[in-house]
This record gives sequence, C-alpha cells and structure tokens, in this order.
Amino acid sequence: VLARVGVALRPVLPGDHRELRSIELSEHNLTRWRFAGEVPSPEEYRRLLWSGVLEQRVVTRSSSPSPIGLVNAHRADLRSGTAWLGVVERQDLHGQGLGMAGLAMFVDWLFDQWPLRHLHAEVHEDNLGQFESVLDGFANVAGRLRARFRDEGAGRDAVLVTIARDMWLSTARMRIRTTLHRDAGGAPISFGEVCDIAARSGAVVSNPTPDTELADIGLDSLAVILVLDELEQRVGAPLPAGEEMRVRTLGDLVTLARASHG
Amino acid sequence: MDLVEINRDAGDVIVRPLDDADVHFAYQLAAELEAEWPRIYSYGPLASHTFGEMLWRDVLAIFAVRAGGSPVGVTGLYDVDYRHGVGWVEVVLAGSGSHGADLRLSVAEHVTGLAFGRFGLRKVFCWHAGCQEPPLGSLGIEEARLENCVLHDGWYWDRVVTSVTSPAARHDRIA
Repeated sequence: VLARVGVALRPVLPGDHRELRSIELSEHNLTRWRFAGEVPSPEEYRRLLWSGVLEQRVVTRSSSPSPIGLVNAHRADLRSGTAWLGVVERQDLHGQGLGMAGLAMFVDWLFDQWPLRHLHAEVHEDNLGQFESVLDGFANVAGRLRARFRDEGAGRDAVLVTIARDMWLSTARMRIRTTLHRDAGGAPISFGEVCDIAARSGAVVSNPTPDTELADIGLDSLAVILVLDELEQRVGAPLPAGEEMRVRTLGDLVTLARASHG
Repeated sequence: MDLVEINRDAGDVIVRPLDDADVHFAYQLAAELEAEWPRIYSYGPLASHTFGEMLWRDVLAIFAVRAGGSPVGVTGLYDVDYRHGVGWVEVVLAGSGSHGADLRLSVAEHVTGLAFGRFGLRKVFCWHAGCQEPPLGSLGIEEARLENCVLHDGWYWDRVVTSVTSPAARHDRIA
C-alpha cells in the first residue's frame, strides 16, 4: 500500500539492524541524528531503535528491499494527538530526495492510521531546504531553538516544524502524491498495475485482458469507485470528471488513468 | 547528600536529590498537574507501579523541592546532549503556581546554575503548556510555540519552549 514509484516503505526486520546502524552512524548522520555523536553498541542500538517509537518503517528503493533510510514517529502523545517525526537516509543518497519522499509517504500513512492532529519535526537548519522541497506550503515553522547544535565551533539552530492533519488531508496529500510521482519519472500506469488495483478491491482476476468486463470479475459499482479512487492516488491527479460512467473494462481503466496522468 | 538551601522571601527552600521517600509525593504531583509536567505527561498514562522508573527515565539529575518543611515540587535536568552542550530542565511545583513567582525563580536559578556550573552545559531548554506560568520565569526566553498541541482540561493549549543560555556562552560565538 505504501509503495510509490521509486521509493517504498516496509517494516523493520531483525536483519536490518546492522545496516540501519551503519546508516545512522555514518559521518554526516552521526552528529545530526539522535545519537549526537555517541556510538551505541550493536546490542544497545537494537534496544534504542524502538525506544519511544510509535511507528517506524525502513525506506527502500521499490526495486530492492535493502534499507536506504529510516522514518519514524516517536514521542507520541495520543491524548493530544501529536507525535514527532524522524528521518535518516544513507549518506551517499543525500540530496536525491529519496528520504524525503519516504517521509512524505510515511506522514500520509500516519494520518491514515492514527488519530494524530499534528506531527512535529526538529530539523537541523542545514537540512531545512531539503525538508521544504517536499513539504513546502504545509509544514509551518513553529520556532527555532537557537544554537541547539554545535557544529565546527559554531552554533546551528534546530527548526521546529509542524504538519497539521487538516491541512495535509485537505490540500497536501494530493500535491505530495503528484510530486512524488512526477519526481520519480512519472511512469505511465501499466495494465498489470490496474489489474493489481482491481484485485485489491475484490476483483477475481485470472487471465485478464483489456477487454475483460469489470462486472465479470466481480466488481460492482461500489468496487469500481474504490478502484477509481486508488487509481487517482496512483496517478496523483483527479481522473477526468464524468468519465467513470463509461468504464466497462480493464482496458477502459488503463485509458482513463493514462488520460489523467497526461 | 547534596543539600542546597535557598533563602528567599517565600521562606526557606531546600532542594535536595530526590529519593525513594519522595516518589509518592511526585506521583501525586504528576496526577494533579498532568500536562503541566510535560516530561512525565509525554510518557503516557500514569501507573503507580511504573512511576518510579518514569521519574528517573532520561534524567541526569533530579531533585525534590521543599518549602516550609513540606514537599512542594520537583526540579531536574534531563535529555542532556553533551555533544552539543544542551539539555532540558523541568521546574514543577504543586498548586499550579500558588507558591508564587519568587519560589519558581529560585528553583529555576538553582537548576540552571547546576546545568551550567556542574555539568558544563551552555544552554538549557524548558517545555511548558500554554495554560501554565513559564517555569523559568523571567530567566527564560521564548523560542518556539507549537500551537494547540496539548489537551488539558478539555482545551488544546500551545506547547512552548523557553531557554536560558549560560553566562559564559553568551559571550561565545556558539550562542
């Protein structure tokens, strides 16, 4: 469900600890991420990885399950509906936006799954530009902890950023999905993807062809609406208005989605 | 025993390391204040059998505050980041400020002085909810305000961060 073109999120598995520790302890991340320069033992790292965490996911490329980063929600106050976000990515991938894309997907997931009203992040001021490139317009700066960090003898600020649920759901979600899709190369939706989406909505798809009638594979009108909704999310843009009534076959779904993708 | 006496108009105030005998009072304090003790509140619902562990979690130093012979609060230093020379302080007093600004300021001066003088930090931060008096009183400078983020008594209040910079760091380019 969390997969988008180029980047995917998956649960943390026991075999990930070594690679994630290596990512967190790389030179750039060591002082700017949670350990602030300290080097925990592998055993201690395993314990700390889940300390205070509400949810977390490994960020991977869609094409490989190897970790390229980690996103988490921690210090959750579920009574008040708040939590803090964390994101770290492989040092050699900095600047490519993969970690930020993973974070945006994760925010989407959190607002879907948890009764959270606000997500906060403490961002090193040198990383703020990278953060803004994805979240510009719906992440508000709540203030700066002046000289929170000490880098190379100079004070650097921590910028406190807030993402509000209402704004995310009303405007940001579709824009983020569009951005993620475009930035990832905007590959047109394939017939196979459409079949997968149909199957997730209850279709019994065996030996499908573009001429396969939706009614013949168990998709009633409600299920078709669900399929169209997921197609909109996949292409990151609204489907052409009024066209849904003409959809009869799997091939029609592909045509509709590609027309929307433009 | 590290005993610190602070003589102020509010009466003799003693700040001493918190021990097992103070835990029951601290538990009652946490139950009374809820969101006004941000660190404890952030750990989730109170449970008496785990409260002792909560009280010392993430803490570098924690003290009981007594005034006029009675326990009135807790103060301490936690989430210390030596690499960057910063930490967080808490000044938690019973009665939602009924002891007055003078006592609050005395305790805040004590704990910030400890952070700078004994532990060598250059800056400390403090969280508080918008419904309460700033724990650091006139010492603290507001740095950030997370709007409508704390549910307390049926209302959403702001969560505010104030800070105090050490006298030495004020003259340093890091500050």
